Amino acid sequence: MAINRHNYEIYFIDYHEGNLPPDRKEELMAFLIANPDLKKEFDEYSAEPLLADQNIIFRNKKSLKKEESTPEFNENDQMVIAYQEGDLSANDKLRADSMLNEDDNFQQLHELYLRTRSIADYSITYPDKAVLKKKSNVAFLLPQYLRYAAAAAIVIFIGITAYFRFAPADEPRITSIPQRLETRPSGHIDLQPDYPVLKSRNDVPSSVQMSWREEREPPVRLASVHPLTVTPSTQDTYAAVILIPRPFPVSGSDAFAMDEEIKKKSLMGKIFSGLFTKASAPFSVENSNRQTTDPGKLSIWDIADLGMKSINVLGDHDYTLVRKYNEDGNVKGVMLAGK
Amino acid sequence: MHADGVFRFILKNLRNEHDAQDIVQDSFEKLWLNHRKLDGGKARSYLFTTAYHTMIDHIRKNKPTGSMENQAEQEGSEMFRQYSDLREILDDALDKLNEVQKSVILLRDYEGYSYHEISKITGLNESQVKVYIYRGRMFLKNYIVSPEHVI
Repeated sequence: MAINRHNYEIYFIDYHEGNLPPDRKEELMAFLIANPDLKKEFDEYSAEPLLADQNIIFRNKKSLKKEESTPEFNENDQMVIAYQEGDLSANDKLRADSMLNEDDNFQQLHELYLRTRSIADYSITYPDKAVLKKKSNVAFLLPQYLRYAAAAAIVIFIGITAYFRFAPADEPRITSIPQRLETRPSGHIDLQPDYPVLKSRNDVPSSVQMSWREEREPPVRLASVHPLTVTPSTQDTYAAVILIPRPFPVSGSDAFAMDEEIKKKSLMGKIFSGLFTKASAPFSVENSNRQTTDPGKLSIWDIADLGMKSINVLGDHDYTLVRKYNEDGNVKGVMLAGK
Repeated sequence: MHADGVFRFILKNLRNEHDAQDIVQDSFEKLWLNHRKLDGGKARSYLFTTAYHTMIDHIRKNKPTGSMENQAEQEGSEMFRQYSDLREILDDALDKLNEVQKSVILLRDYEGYSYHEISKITGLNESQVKVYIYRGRMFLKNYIVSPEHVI
């Protein structure tokens, strides 16, 4: 586009900024000769821009500076640091090794830098590591089977609590010890048939060596004429159990049957009776007659009894673990009893 | 358990046992919150990274404010301090480094982390880590040989 009176400003600016090519410069000069009235305006474009007053200065620049503690590196410093940090190439490392042997200054520098290394004080330890452990969801740390065991334990405990809370209070809750235990070894005391209903501890015949716990006293009834058997070594445990009237089957799944009336009256009983059966299944193979096996050894029943005692103490409960036996004297089933 | 290592590192930086404990505890809480996202071998690195950043935030929040004159006075008074061993001098020298430089040196010396690992923890690049370490070492060397810091 040729220069004309409508676009000459662009040419003027480009000329003064040094951006106009030589051929265009000639063209611009020719244009100015042809239009002398624009010469004055052309010259004004060449005027210097407004400049700040260079005489006004901030006199205290030193106060604005902050001294930096970053000294200059010299070659030896760099070499020593790189040597100690393991940053040298194989050749440079050889060179540094020979300098260490031959150059006292280099060796001194090497020792100085070694002294700048911070050494951890291993006597300082975190004082309370227990607070750093995960406080919830610890299950992920446990083996799989322990998770199930923990879950089962919780379900059983809730079941026990719920069952005894919701079961009718005026019904005997315990089943009997089977009649067949009469055939067990000596030390058993047989209750004779035809006992009347027992309403308190005073009704218990003196021939029955039982110890009563006060809170278990009434109401207990004996409405049956079936002979029952007590094992003296576990009198405490069975004190509330003996006086239950019903003959109790010892075979098959009936071993774990609960009183039908209780079942009907207790929703929780219904729900948890099945769980009890499943949970107690592993115990059914355990031999209860530890006197004939290894008297000094803790049996699973000892542990279970201890567990029940713990639950009683912790939860202020009064539960008892009742075992049921088969004709060989082995535990066939287990029930939980409580008032 | 990496609690001791993290604790020593933070304590050396902050010189305040209570704050160091808080930061370690905070780091472990974050670790437990995020443990499912982490590879097993990265717990240590995660702890140091978290503790480092928490510490830097803590330092910046609690940085003392004061006039430049006051700071100069404090620095002047420190010049007359008597030292009984090299460790004291070195501790003082470390405190003169900025928090990033100090952390980088301590991660290197205490934990033996590589430049790459330190760069992951601090968020610096490897070249920066290397320069910080070199400059830090030179500063420490010059500090312990200066006449006012002779034992």
